[in-house]
Amino acid sequence: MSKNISKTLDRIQSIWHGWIYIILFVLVIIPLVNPIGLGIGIGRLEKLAFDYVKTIPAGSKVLYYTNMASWTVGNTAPTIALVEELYRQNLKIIFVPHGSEAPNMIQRVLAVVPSATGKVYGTDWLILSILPDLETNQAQFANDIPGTSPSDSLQKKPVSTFPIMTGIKTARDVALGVNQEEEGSQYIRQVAGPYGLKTISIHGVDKIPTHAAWLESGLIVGAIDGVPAAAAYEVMLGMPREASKQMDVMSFTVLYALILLAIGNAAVIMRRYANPKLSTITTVDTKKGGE
Amino acid sequence: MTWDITLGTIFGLALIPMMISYVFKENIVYQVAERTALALEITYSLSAGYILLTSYWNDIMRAGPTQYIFLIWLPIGAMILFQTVRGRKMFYYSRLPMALFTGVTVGVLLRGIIYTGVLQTVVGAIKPIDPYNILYLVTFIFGIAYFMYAFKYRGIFKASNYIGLIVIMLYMGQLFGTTALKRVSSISDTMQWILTALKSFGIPIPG
Repeated sequence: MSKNISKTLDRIQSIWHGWIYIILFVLVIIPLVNPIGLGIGIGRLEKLAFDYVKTIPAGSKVLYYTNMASWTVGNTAPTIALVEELYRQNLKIIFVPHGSEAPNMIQRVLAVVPSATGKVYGTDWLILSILPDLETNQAQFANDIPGTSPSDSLQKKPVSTFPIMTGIKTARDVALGVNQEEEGSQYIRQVAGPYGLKTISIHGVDKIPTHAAWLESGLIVGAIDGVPAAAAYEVMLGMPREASKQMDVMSFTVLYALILLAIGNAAVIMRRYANPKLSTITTVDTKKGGE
Repeated sequence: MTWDITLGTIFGLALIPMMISYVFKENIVYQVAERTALALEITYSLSAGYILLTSYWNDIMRAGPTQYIFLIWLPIGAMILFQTVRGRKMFYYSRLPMALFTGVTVGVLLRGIIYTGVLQTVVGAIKPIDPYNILYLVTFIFGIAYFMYAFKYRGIFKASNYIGLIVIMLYMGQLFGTTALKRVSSISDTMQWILTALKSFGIPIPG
């Protein structure tokens, strides 16, 4: 019996690997074109971020560090959701672009944020000049914002000519910081920590454990990590969009990955059970042309 | 759509399936896409460098004489080009900007690591003392203990080494899990982008 199961599992393992990817693509595309609407859970980090924004007085200013670029064009859902909430709260956003593509990407995102319609450049939002994503720049910028970034990215005017910059000198002069950088630690080390700036972090799902530690130590007030958090944010805003649609994909593909993991592990264990002397690690004889 | 976004979308729609074809087998289509992406990346980096340089120059010029002091970094930075000149002496000068940059960065970095990384993150996460934070402290101590190579572990300390290993394995496991989840998220993002791009060209896609 166990030998039969072992043989079946071995046979499954010898199937052409391309099928794994073909099935994966099918599982990704089906929920996208035909949303099923599986449940979306609201996590602690995004709930805290959402609730914190609600406590900020209208008219306050937000320093939004971002490195959005063409490679993040498919992953704008967390940004859209957060900017929508910031504008619903009537906050003013000063974007700090890290990278030459960021100013363009910020405009593309604002174009699809419903509450950004009618917002005035220079009064409700501003894109500062590009700041290279370096440790030293972060430190200097937080200490002297108009001195380190003396002009804006779109109109190339001195920042002092824009009403939104009135009273802004250091990172202490804003109500909230948003950390959407490549890695995020630089901002925490040089801005959030030394200046005590309340911060919301936007990164991928792999950053959740790091964010949990930052949250416990008070370095951030919440986070929006990847598609699941963005979907939850959309639900809280009552604005289901791309992320909510992608959650079906996530559910399907993660389930698929778990099934593959279970089959692979079961095959190894059964093989070992059938032949205890056999090593779990397959050795390859390169002299015989093994790959 | 503007012409540049249209062109970018067409490029993206062509290159993504070409790149994905690698999962089946390395092939000429993938190689063409890979080299095209590499060439585009180099072009992009050059243009990004140009934009940064002009942005830096314009910022200094617009701000006026108070910022002229920062122009001193231009010739110092340009010294790195001496790497292309033959001769030991010139090569020595090319290392000066790198040394300056590394020194300043490490100084600023260390301040951040000690103050925010160690004091604020670790100490801040332990307070207040509750079961969750005690667990955090215990895993932190055992995790650090595993990397203490200064002395040989004997007796009860040998157990701390083993517990440290388990803690690190747990961390590696969650890291693998969340990394896999991020890749799934990337596939989903990419597919969503493809479908949106196709829709923008008037192709009827449900959903």
